[in-house]
Amino acid sequence: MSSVNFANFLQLLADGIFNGTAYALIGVGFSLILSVSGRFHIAYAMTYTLAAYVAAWMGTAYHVPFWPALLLGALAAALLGALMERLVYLPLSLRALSRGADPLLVMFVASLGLTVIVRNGIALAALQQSSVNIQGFNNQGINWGPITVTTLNLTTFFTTWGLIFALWAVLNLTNLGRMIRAVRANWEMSLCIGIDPSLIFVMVFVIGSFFSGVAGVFQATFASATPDLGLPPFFYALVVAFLAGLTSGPIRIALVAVALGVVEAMSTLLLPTQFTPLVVFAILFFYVALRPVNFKDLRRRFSPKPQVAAG
Amino acid sequence: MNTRNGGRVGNGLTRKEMLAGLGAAAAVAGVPRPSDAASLQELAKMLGVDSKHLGKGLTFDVGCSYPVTGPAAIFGSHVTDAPNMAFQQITQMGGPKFNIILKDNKSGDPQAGVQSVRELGFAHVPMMLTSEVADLAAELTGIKQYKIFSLDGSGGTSDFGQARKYFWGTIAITPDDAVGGVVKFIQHMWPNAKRVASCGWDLGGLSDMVLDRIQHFFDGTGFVQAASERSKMGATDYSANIQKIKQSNPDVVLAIVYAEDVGYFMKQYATSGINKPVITFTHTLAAQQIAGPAYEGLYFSFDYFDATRPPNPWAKFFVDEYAKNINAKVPPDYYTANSYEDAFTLWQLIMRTLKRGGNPKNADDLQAALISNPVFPSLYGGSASEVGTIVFDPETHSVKHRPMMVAQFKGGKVNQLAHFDVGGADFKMLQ
Repeated sequence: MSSVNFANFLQLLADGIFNGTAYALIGVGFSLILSVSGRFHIAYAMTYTLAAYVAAWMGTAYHVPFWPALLLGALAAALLGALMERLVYLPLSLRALSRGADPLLVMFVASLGLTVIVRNGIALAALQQSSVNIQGFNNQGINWGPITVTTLNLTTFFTTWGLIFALWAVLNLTNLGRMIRAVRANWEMSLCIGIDPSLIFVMVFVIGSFFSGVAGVFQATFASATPDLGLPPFFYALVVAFLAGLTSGPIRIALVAVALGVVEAMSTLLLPTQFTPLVVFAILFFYVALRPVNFKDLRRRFSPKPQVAAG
Repeated sequence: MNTRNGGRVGNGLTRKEMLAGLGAAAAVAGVPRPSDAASLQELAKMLGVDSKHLGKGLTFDVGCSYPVTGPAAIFGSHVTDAPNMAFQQITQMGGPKFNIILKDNKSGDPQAGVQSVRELGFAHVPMMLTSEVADLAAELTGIKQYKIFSLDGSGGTSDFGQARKYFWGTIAITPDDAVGGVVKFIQHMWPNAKRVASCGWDLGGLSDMVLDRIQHFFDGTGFVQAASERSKMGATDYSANIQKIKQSNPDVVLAIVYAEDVGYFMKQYATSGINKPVITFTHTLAAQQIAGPAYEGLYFSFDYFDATRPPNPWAKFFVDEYAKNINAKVPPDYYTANSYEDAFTLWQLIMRTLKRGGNPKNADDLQAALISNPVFPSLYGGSASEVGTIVFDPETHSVKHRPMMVAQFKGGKVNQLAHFDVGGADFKMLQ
C-alpha cells in the first residue's frame, strides 16, 4: 500500500480528474448514440482508433500540424460512424424488424463484426509499424506545487469540456437538439411531427463518433496509435453511460466520468496498479446488481412492434 | 541454363547481369539476394567451417516461432529476413538447404505458442528458432514432447526456461545477467544512490523470480527496492505505475519492460516530474521512435548488438550483407543479429553432429553435440581480426559468457559506457 500524504492525495486527485475527463468524452458520445438510436455500438472503439491513425498519418505523411490533424481524424471518425449506421445498422435493423426479429441482438452481432473488420483492416494497413505517433504536440510536464500535470492533460481537459458544453447547448438550445431529444423520448411519436428518425440516428452517430475521434487522437498523443487503441476505452464508455443513466445530459455524464476517474486513481492507494481497472468494473457490477439496466425498456423504445414496421 | 557464348543467357544478358537483376528484384520483394562468393569463402574461413561435414545435399525444415503480430511484433512479416539470409549464405557455402516454416506466436499468446509447436511437431520439424523465452514457456512442453531442438535468441532461457530439454537460450538473461553490472554501474555513476524503483511486466510468479534475482544482486550493496511496479505486457499507459514510482522517491528507476513498451514508459516518464535516471534492459528503434525526444538520456544494459560498431569481422560482414541484401531501412538490431547468429549455430551443430556420426535431424543428437562442445562463433565480442564466441552452460542451457554493456542513448546515438560479462564479471567503465 502506498504512503498517503497530502501531496500524493493531490496528485492522485489531479490524475483522476484528467483520466476521468478522457472517459467523459467517450462516455458522452457513446451514451448519445445508445440512448437515441438504441444501437449497442461496440464498433465505437474503431472510430476512436481510426481517428488516431488518420491524425498520425496526416502528421507523418503530410506534416499537417496537430490541431488540423486532430480535426481531420475526428471528421474521419464521424464519417465512419455515419457510414456504419447508414450502410450496416439501419438496413440490418429494418430487415430484422420486417421479419419480426429483435434488432437489438442483430445490432450487437453486426457491431462486433464491424469491430473485427475495422480493427484488422487498420492492422493490415499499418503492418510495417505496430504503432504510429501523433506529430506536432509538444507534451511538457508542469509542476504546480506538489503536483505535476502535463500540457496534454490541460489541452485534453479544456477541449473535452468545451465539446461537452457545446453539445449541451446543441441539445438544449437548437432545433436539432430538440429533434434528438424527441427521437430519444419516443421515435415513433417523433414521426408524427415530421421528424425523420433515421436522419437523427445518423446525426447522433456523427456527433458521437466525432467525440470518440477527438478522444482517440488525444490518447494516441499520450501513447501512440495502435490497432487495439480503442478497445479498453470502449469499456470505460460503457461503464460511464450506464452509471450516469442513458438519458442523462452530457454534463451529468461527464461529471460521473470524472468521479469514476478519481475513484480509479485513488484506488491505487489500496491496490496494486495493474488491478485498478477492476475497481471500475466492480462499480459497474454493483450498480447493475442493485439497479438492473432495463433492457426490456430499451427494446420497447427502440424496436417498434413488428406489425407497425410491417405495415 | 545456357552457359556458352561468354556466359550470356537468353537475349544477350550475362549471367552476372541476370543475377544482379534477380538480386535487385529479390531485395525489393524482401527476399535476400545471394551473397558474393568470395566473401562467403572468407566467412567460411572465419567460422572455421568443417569442409568434410558441411551437410551438403541435406534439407532441413526449420520452424520459426516469432511475434509476427501483437505488441511485440517489431518486424512483422520481415521477422525471418535475417535467418533467411543466413540460411541462403549457408547453402551457398556448400551447406544444407533450409526451409523456414514461420509460426506467429502473437507476442506472448500461450495458445498460439502451443499451437505452433504442435503443428511443427506433427510435421516432424527437427529444429526451431524461437523467441520470447519460447513464448513465455508455453512452447517448452511441446519442444520436449515433439523433440524439436530450439534456440531462443530474443529472450534466452530467462529464469523459467532453464535446463529444459532441447531448449537453449542464445542471449543473456535480462535483467538477471545484466543486474550485476548495472549495480556496479550505479555505484560508480551515482555513489549516493540507494533507492531503486522498478516497473516490470506482470508475469505472475515469474515476476517474483525476477525480483528475487534483483534482490540477490542488491544484497550487501545497501540498495533497497523502493517500489516494484507491475504492468501488463504490451501496456501503453504507465501513468499509474509512474505515479507510484514517484511516491517511492527513487534514486534510480529500472524499466524491466521490453520491445515497444519501453517507448511508452519513457514517453510518459519524461513528463512525470521525476528527474532520476532510468535504466532498461533493451533498446529498439521502435521504442525509440515511440518515445521521441523522451528517449534521450535513457541508459540500457544487456548484450546489445551495435551495428554502427561491429566488434569483429563476422559482425561487420553481417551488417554489410544485411544492408546490401535486405530491403531494410534501418541497420540490424539485436533481435535480427541473434536470429542470424542462431541460424549459423544450427548449422554448426549439424556439422558437429555429422562429424560425431549422429543424425542431424534428431534433437538428442543435436543436443549431445552442443553439450560436448558448447563454444560457438558469435557476432558478439572478439576483435577486429577475430570472430567472437558464445559459450553455453550445459547445466542451465543459458549463455555462460557473453559480452554485455551499459550504454546511454544520447545525442541521437548509442554511447557505450561500461563493459562486463554475465553477472557483472570483469566490469570495466569505458569513460
